[in-house]
Order: sequence, then C-alpha cells, then structure tokens
Amino acid sequence: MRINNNLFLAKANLKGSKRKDTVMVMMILSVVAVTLLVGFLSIVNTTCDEYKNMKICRQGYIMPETCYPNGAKGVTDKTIGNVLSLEHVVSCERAALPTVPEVITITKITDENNKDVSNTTNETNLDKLTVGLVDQFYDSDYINKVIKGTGLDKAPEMSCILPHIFTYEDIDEDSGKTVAREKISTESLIGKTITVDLEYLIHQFTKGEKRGYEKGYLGEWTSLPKITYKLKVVGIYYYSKATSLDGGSYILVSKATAEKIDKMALDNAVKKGMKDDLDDYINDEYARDYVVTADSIDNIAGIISELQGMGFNAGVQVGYVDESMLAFTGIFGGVGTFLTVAVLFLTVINIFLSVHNNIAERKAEIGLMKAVGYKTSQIFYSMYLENIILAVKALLIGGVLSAVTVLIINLINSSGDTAQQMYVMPWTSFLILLAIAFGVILVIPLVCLLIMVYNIAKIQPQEAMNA
Amino acid sequence: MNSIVAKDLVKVYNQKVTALKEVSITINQGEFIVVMGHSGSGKSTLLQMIGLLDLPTSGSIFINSKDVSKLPKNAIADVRQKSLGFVFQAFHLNPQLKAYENVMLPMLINPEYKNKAEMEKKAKELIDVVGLSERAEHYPSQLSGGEQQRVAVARALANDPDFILADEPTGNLDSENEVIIFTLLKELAQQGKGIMVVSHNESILEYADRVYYMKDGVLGDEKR
Amino acid sequence: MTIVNFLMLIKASVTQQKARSIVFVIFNAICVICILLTSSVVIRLWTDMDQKVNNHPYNKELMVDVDINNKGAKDKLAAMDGVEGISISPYDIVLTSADKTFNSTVNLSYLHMDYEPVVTKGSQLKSTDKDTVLMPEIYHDKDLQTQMRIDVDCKKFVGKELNFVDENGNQYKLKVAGTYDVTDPALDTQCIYTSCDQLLKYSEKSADDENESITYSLALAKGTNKQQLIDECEKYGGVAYENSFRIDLSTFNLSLIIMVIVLAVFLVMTVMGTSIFISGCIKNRTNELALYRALGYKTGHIFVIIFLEYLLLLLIAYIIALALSAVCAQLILNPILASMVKGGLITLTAEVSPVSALIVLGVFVAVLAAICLRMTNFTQKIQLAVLLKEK
Repeated sequence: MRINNNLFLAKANLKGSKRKDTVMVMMILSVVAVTLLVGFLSIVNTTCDEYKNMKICRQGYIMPETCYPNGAKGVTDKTIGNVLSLEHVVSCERAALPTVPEVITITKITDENNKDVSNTTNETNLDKLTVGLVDQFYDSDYINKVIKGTGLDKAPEMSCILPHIFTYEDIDEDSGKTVAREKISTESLIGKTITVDLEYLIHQFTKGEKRGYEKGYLGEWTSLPKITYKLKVVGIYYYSKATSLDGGSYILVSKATAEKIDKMALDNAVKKGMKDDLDDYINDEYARDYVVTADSIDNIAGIISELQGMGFNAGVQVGYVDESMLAFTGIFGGVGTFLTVAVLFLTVINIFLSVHNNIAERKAEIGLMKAVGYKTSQIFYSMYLENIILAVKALLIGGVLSAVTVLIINLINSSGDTAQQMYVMPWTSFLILLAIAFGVILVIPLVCLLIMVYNIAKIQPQEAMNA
Repeated sequence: MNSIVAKDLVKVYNQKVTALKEVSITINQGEFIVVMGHSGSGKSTLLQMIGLLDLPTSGSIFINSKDVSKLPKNAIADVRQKSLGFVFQAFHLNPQLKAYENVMLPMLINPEYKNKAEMEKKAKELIDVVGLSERAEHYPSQLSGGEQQRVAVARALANDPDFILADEPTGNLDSENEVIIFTLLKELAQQGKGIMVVSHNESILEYADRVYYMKDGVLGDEKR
Repeated sequence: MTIVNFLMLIKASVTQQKARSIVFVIFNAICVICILLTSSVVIRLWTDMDQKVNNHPYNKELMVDVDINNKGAKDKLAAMDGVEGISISPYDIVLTSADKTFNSTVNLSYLHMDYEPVVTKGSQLKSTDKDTVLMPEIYHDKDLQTQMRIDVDCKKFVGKELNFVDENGNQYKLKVAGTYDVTDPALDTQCIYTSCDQLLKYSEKSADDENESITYSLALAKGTNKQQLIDECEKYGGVAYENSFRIDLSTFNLSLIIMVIVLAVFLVMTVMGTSIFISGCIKNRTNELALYRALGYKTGHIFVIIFLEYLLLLLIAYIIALALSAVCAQLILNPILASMVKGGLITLTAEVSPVSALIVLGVFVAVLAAICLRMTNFTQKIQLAVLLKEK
C-alpha cells in the first residue's frame, strides 16, 4: 500500500516538475553513452586482448627424455605434478597433434556429390591450394570463430575450417624471386571435401641402455609413411594478422580429428613394418611432447626457463607474438580503455550533478512535506521513487535508440566485406551494457540522495516554505 | 498634463475565457484611481493591460496620446521604463540586493544616469522619500513587510515616471502598514503622479479620487 | 557602461544561487577537462597512425618483378600514372655468421625509399658509410639442437664489426652503426639493413649471372591505388606486389575510425549535456527575468544579464579545467599512456595545445551564447502576469 501511495505522489511531483527534463535527458544520454560508446570501444579492446592472449602464444613444449649430456627429463605421471605446481601454469597436456608435419599435399577436391572438382576454378587449383595452405593445426582458440559455415565444435569428425583468404606465392628457388602472388578466397570451398596427403614426423625412440637411464630416447626425428585422408570443409575463419599468427595458411581441425589422424599415421606405419621403431612411441604415453599452457604471454618464457632449471627438456614456444603487433595492440587497447573510462566517468558525473541540482532546488517542497508530517526517511523514499520512474523511462527510450543504432551497424558490418565481421556487436554484450547503464542511473541518484539526507533532515518546514 | 486612455479593451484567454469586455478607462496625472472587485472580476487583467505587461486582444491604449499597444516589444519596454512604475502585491525585491540597490534596479538601463554614483545618490533620496533612511543598507530579509513594500514604491519612482500602477499593494500587510502605504501613494498623487490601484480593500476608499467597480470583466460606472 | 551596471545584478544572482553556481562551474570544468584530454590523445594517435603507418614510405612503394629480357618494361613502368620514380631493387643476401654470433642465418636487406627507422642505440646509416648495417634491437635466434628460441640483444654489437659469409663463400665484415626498433611494422626482425647502394654493390659481387629477372622498386605518389597499378604492371609483363606489414593495417585503421567516431559522439554528448544543464539553470529564473521586463528591460539587456553571468562562471570553470588538465596529464595520464606503449614508433601523450584549448573555449562560449539567446526569447514569452500572482 505504501508503495502505491508514494508512487502516486512521485508521479504527481514529476508532472509538475520543470526540472525533471534535465535529469531525464541526462539519463537518456547516459544510457546511450554506456551502451553505444562503451560497447564499441570494448569491441576494439577485445580484439586487441584476444590477440595478446592467444592460446598458442602461451604454450611451450616439453620434449620427451633424451640421453643427451644435459640429461633432460620428460613428463611422467610422477613429474607432471611438478609441472602443474609451477605458478602461472594453467595446464600440461599431451600434444594433440602433428607439431611438425613434414609435408601436406592437397591432392583432390570433391563436391557434395562426390564429383571431382579439382582444378576447375582458380579457387580449386590444387597447386595453389597446396602452396597456400601448408599447415594443419589444432587451435582451440578457433574452434567456433567461423564467419561462414559451421564451427568445428558443431561439425562431425574429419572436418576442417580454412582461412577466408590465403596467399598463393610462387617463389623461384634459384633466384629467390617471386613469380606470382595472389590472394585467393576460400568461400567457395565450403561444403567441399579435400583429400590430403600427409607425411608425419615423430621423435625417433631408441632405448639408450648404455647410458644407464631407465628410459632414454635419442632426440632424433623420423618420417612416417605417407597417409591419405579426407577432410570436409565446413566453414571459413577470418584470417588477419590482428587475430592470428602469420601466414593464414592453416587448415584447422578439432582435437578429436587431430588425434584420429595421429593414430591413423601410427597404425599405417606399424602396418608398413615400422613396429619396432614405434613400439615405445606407441606404447609409452610419455614418449610424446607435452604442451604447457601459461596464464598469460608474459609468463610463458619464465615458465620455460623454470622448467629447464628443473631438468625438463622444455623448449620451443609454440607461437610468438610479433613485437609490432604487441606494440600496436597495446596502444589501441590502451586508448580504447582510456576512452571507456572517460565516457563512464563523465556519465557518472553528469547524472550526479544533475540530480544534485534537482534536489537542491526543492527546499520549499521538502518543507511542505515536512509540515504535513513526512519523516526524512519517507521524503527520501518518495524522491528516490521519482528517480526510479525517470530511470525506467530513460532506459526504455535510450535502450531503443541505441538498439536501433546497433542493429543498423550490425547489418552494415555483416554484409559486404567480410573483413568487417569483427566489429559486429553481439546482443548479449549489448544487454549486459544496458544492464550496467541501468545500474548507473539507479545507483548514482541513490548515492546522491544519501549524501544529501543530512541536508534534507536539516530543513525546517516553515523556513523552507517562506524562502 | 498626461494621461493614460484605454479604449474598448477586450482580453480573451485561450479563445474561451473573456477576462475583459470592452473596458474603457482614463487615468490622469495627479489622480488617485481605485478599481475594486472580487477575485476573478478582471481587475488584475485590466492592470496588466494598462501597465503594458500584456497586450489586449482588441482595443487600444494611449499614453500621452500615443497608441502604445501597437508598438513593437522593445519600444513598449521603453515606455514602461520611462512612464510607468509598478508596485506588486508580492513585493518582488531581489533578496541579494540591499534596499537602495533594489531601488537602483530600473535606473541601470536609463541612459539619463551617467554613472553609478548618480544612481546611488538618487536611490538614497528616494529611500528618504519613503521614510526608510536608516534602512537603506539593509537586505529585504531584514525588513518588515511594510518596509519592503515601501522600498518597492521607491523603486517604482526610480525613473520618475508619470504614472504608478499598484496591484493589491497592501495584500500582504497589516493595517498599520496599509495606512502608511496608502498615505504614501496619496502624497505621490498630490505631487502630480497618476496613481491607479487595484484592490479589494475597502479602507482605500477614503484616499481615492475616483473609484470603479469591476464585475465579470465589465467596468462599472464611476462611483463618487 | 551598461555592462558595468549589470555587474551588481550578476553578483547578486551568483550569491543567491551559490550551490547551483558551484555545481555549474564544477560540471563545466569536468566536461572541458574530459574533452581536452580525450581529444588530444585520440588526435595524436590519429596523426601518428596517418603519418607513420599509412603514409609509411614502404606503403608508397610497389615491387615489380620483370623478366630480364623485357627491355622496354622499365620505361613503361616509370611512365605509369602515379609513379614518381623507378629504381632497381637489389635482392636480399643470406648470410651466415662467421664468428659464431648467431646460429641461424641472417638476411642482409636494404632500407627501401631511404627510410630512416627509429634507432634505439647508435646512429642511423649515413650515405657516406660503407659496410655498415643496422641490426634489430632483439634478434630471434634458435638453438640448433633444441630449436629453442634465443633472443639476442644486439645493442651490445653497436660500434663493433661482425663477420659473415654468404652462400657463395664471400666474406663480409660489417660494422654495426646502430640498432633499430623492432616494433616498426615494415621491417623484418630477421634482417640486418644496409643502404640500397651498398647492397647493390654486394649483389654485383656475389651475383649469379643466371639471373632471369630484375626487381624494380616503384615510388608512388599515393599509397591508395596500388591494386590498380598492380593490374597495370601485368600488362607490361611485370608481376607486382606491395610491401607486407607485420600488422593488419585494415584492422587497426578500422579500430582507429571507431575510436574517432566514438570520440565525436562523446563530444557531441558532452556539449548536449552541458547545454541541457545550462538551460535548466536558466529556466529557474523566470520570475526574476519577468521583473526586469516589467521594469522596462529590453531583450538585449536581458540577454546581456544572463550571458554575462554564465560567461564569467564558464571562464572560471575553464581556467580551473586548463590547470587541472595540465596537472592530470603530467602526473597521471602520461605515465599510464607511456607504460602502454612498447617501442618508439608511435607515441601516446595527452597534451593540451593552445589551438585545441581555444577551439574548445570557442565551442563552449558559442553554445552558451546560443542557449542564452534561446532562453532570452523564451523569457520574452513569459506572461508578465506571473508577477501579479499572489505569493
């Protein structure tokens, strides 16, 4: 009942108040500022952060035990605990897949009806594809970052995603000069199946009993016989130097697919008579590389040195952040953050000062309410209720305005040049920002009123009415 | 001798409410005229018209034989500044200005005053005229209701206008102060100013030269 | 003279609404500070990106491979619309360290278009220098056995001479003049750079005579129509390509555009907020202004009274804002911005230049004048009858 009464009074006060317009418009401006401006700035920031935190740049390899003079040890179930206990280490897992495939050749492309469409168009030119797409990789960052088609998380096994554009560069080996250079789009390959020949490299493992190690491996490499398999292209991911490492030449597969191919290569090699060489490799689950992931790119180098200090054969970092990219993402991310802070700061100050202004002028009103018998807490409650009403209205108006703007921008960005797909604001982010904006326009007046409670309490009814 | 002549004033608000129905009245210098009536009779509206605070829907107002109701806004302001002085029921003194500074308010835009010192001197003279010499430096909050209204009268005299228009000048005052104000206004009339007072206070009748009664927008005949 | 007269009224008005006036000053001061600082940072970034990246000399160059027997190609290429000059581009020479300084091979390349990179230690290459190179500040070497990356700090080589051998066995004694900043997106950190003439001389020395093609460097007037020129080169038998940058230019340029748009909207909102605030302040004075009109004050007078008061408050706010911006920029902002920047190519500083300060002041004064004008007209419409209302 009390709320209804107060609501009635609040609404009545608002109707007569000339000054509510100021507060209302300030609130609308705040909602728009937080959702639109902060929203788009956070997209810029996210892009920069994602680059710096790419999983592949936070990973390093620990290789199996060798019997080289440095006697480095590998990861076993006794030692994995030591690795995991290091500060900043997020995980330590067996490497999913070919880290150093020797050669990938794309030998055929078939369409959905199994018809061979190799070399029918520029995009299906096998030579160009083989030169342009040189690596196969499992990259957990990219599983669902497709701009067309489906992501690997929703696709069946033996699927892959391709970069949306790859560069075909033909370099004459003798003179080192480039004879051709072309950027080719892979969009037309979605839905087609590529047949891949893969020659896979693994560590060569021979027990070094003479060295007296319980298990020792010569750190050498051996080539497994070529295997052939098919991958269905289910989608394309956006390749740009801002979001991936380099080249834009990776065929990306899921972890399960990578492990399946791994097994395929080993089984094939055993069939072709390499069983002895591979026995330990196949049976010894620790005869593999282990991938250590750090929590940030700044820490991975330190972790690798620590592991070396502990005697592990820790080495190659999987990916490196280019200094230039690091510098630029740092700067852009920084300016983005700075602008965000400025917008939020001004928004909060805006609301605070206009609410303060509003309240400071209502002495006569407050005096009257007191004369009639209102207590300070009831006056406080009633005034805050007014603010809530204004806030709800402002949220609706501001929310609609910015939603329409975001819709238009999203539409513009989704069509046409796919490169701009990165600047589409997802609706979940928008709603979160809207909630934050609502919080701001609710909380700031509350804080303001609380601060002024003392002043309100001080007002004597009579003097206020006569002022 | 100058006079204000209003002819056939009609004022309609919002195309519905007719506040004045063809009212004509003349105010001469040296006269003390009172218009009486209940609230809603239109007397305040009549004062607004004559004081050029608002323009009539039809009809004209002549001040010193010039039709001022047709003049552009800025010219009307000039007329108000030169020829008219106002006394309001609510005093409308600026609480942040001292008494004599309040009196100076109309002088600030009068090109006849050459510098501030002149204005201050004249203002203090006018304060003396209304009998508040010891209170010249006081703020309105330090003055009683009657004293405040006297300051307002002094302010009305700032530019030495020919006419003074007062709207319920004693509405907020006690009977003692009423007498002081009415006496003051009567003196001003005797000194040659044209005074028009709108009031519902019967005690003013003994000071008036002419009395009119208004009812429902119509000015009754002169009674006296 | 009238203005001086009104000072009395202004003083009275300000003291009457002490609280509101203070809020007015604070509000405007904060708006001005925000505008000054954010504009200076974003505009600085914009000009840096424009000058140092988009207009990077490497961005205004096209490399064209032409068959050596295609004699007329050079002139035809030089005559293309938009091409300012043509010169021969020597090939990189792959060098191996002869004094065990590096495990991996190093590319000896040249600085295109007489580009002078940011040098972190030592000095630039001088045209009179012979056998001098610039090294990357940090060179990514590899441990041959473990394939582990080793970062070599090349600053320690500055002033020293290093020995190299190329694939044909030629010896190189190269003096290190300085180290270049590796955050430059145009340069390859696996390269050491010398001048074009020097590299041409080395190429002649170690040249295979079976070279089948020549690479030309085309200096362009503008960097924007490269694709068109690439297509044109094909007609004359040349395969053309642009220099690649280590960063994705389109992404960063787009980010910059987003930031500039956000800044523009932010500025508009700030001005809107200010104008709403100011008009709110003025709307409270209807009675006072009606009185002035009743006393005979004209439109111009009323405008002056309102405008002067808020102008004075605005100027106070502005001076406070200028002082605070300078302090804030020096003590807080610039150190934070400097910590975000790694490398010397782009600088981020918040600096309030006199020009921008004046522009901002001009905008605020103009907005204030416009609002006061609107308010003056608004007050003209107030029925003076409000004065006749009972208290």
